[in-house]
Amino acid sequence: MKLDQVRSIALFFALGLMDQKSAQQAAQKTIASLKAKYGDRPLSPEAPLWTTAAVLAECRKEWKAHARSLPGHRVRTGDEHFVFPTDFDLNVWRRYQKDAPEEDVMATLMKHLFHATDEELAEGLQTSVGTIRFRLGKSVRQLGLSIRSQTLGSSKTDRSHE
Amino acid sequence: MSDFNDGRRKLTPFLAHEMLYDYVVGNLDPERRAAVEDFIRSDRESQNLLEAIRRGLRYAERLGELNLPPHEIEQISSAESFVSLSRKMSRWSEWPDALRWSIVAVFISTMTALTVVSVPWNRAARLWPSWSLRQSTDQGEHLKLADLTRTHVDEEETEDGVSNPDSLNSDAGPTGDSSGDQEFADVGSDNVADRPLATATPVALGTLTANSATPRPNVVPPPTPVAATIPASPAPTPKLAVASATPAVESRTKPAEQGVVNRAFMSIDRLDELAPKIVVQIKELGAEKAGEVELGWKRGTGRYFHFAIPETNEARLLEVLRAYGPVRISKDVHPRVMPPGQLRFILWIESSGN
Repeated sequence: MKLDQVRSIALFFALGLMDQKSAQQAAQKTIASLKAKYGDRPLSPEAPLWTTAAVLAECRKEWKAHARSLPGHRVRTGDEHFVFPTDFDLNVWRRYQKDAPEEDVMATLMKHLFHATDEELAEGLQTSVGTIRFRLGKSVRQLGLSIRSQTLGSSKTDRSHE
Repeated sequence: MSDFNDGRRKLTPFLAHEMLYDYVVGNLDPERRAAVEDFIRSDRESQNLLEAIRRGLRYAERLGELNLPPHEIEQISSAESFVSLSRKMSRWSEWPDALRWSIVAVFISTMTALTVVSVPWNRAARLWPSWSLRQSTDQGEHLKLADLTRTHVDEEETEDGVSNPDSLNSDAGPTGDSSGDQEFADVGSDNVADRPLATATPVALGTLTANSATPRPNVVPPPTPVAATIPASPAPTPKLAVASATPAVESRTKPAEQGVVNRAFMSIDRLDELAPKIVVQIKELGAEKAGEVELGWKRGTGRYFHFAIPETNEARLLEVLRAYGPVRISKDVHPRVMPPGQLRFILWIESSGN
């Protein structure tokens, strides 16, 4: 079985829900559901296991089911749960994930984890391409501003320590 | 809203800010792109937002570099639901190897057993003579394992008018006929009172075939009644016959001809008194003895008649016999072929009373 899509699905729920247990359950349900609907053998060795649109639609369905059941809506997951590059600041994402609308978070993760086109995102999230572009633009702007404030905050802290 | 300046649209700050993401990812057409670039050059806030969007985009793209512990990925990838499991198990290739091979083995065994049971091997052996043991055994149903035969002169057989005198006694038992005399010699041998018994001579298996061309001794003493000295044990010629080690070449090359022997059975009273009369009547119809023993040979409580008769007299013969009582007649296929117009009869009359 190809693990690229499985990894992306697992990461999608881990970063999107930020709750280890819920993320794992949602990912497992999504994988099982995709296997049931589309099998677990690709049509050709080079082909992906499932189409991106199918994966996105299934992820969205499970996201909705699990996000609602989360206590306090969002629970943080520790850094130890992820393997990430040394210069990557997960707190930026945590802040963004906490404040941003879940549709924006979903669109951002799907765009960058599954490398989906705007059209595939629109199909998977059952909305228009214009809406998808609007959400993506809003998300990256918010992320960029969050990074800037994080940088400014940390530099202020450094100066006060000096 | 946008204003027009020198024929080109001028963007409002709101529109320009909303279009910054599309400007960065290259979704704008050239005209719009130029308008946004013009606006950015003159608007400080747009420059800051553009920088934030680029920063955010770089960060978002690095999300794909994150990973989860491998064991967690493995655990997630092995997730199955009832439906996915059913779907998986419905594929033959997904079944365990042991189960698949067991099913194949059972299937092959079953098919083999069904073939062995359902194919009529006896009939098949008759249809394809090459399947048979290349030996003129009785209808292919008997396997000749050994043969102790009495060699003798062929004179009698030529007198009998049998078409193939060579083959007449080649498989003969002590009574000179494997299908007739021999058969009766085997049955009820305990009751035999006196019986002409030939000198049994063991013959190599390879030399004993119906159409065998192997030479035989020319002269052998005629049958001598030795019932008193030799127990009436079953004749040493069993029905089973083994394929000859040196089967006759002729039998392989010639298509097997099929003859017929007519078997008749009667049960009448006062047999001792009537038997000579029956012999006379049969002879009057042109019957000639076909085996070793004389017509009406007494054996146990019955009489044995083995004879050849013209085909034209068959009906008369049956009339004569029916005058003494009911006759049961059957025709059996036999490798010995009679000449045209001749029928071979083996009649056994059992004494029903005194």
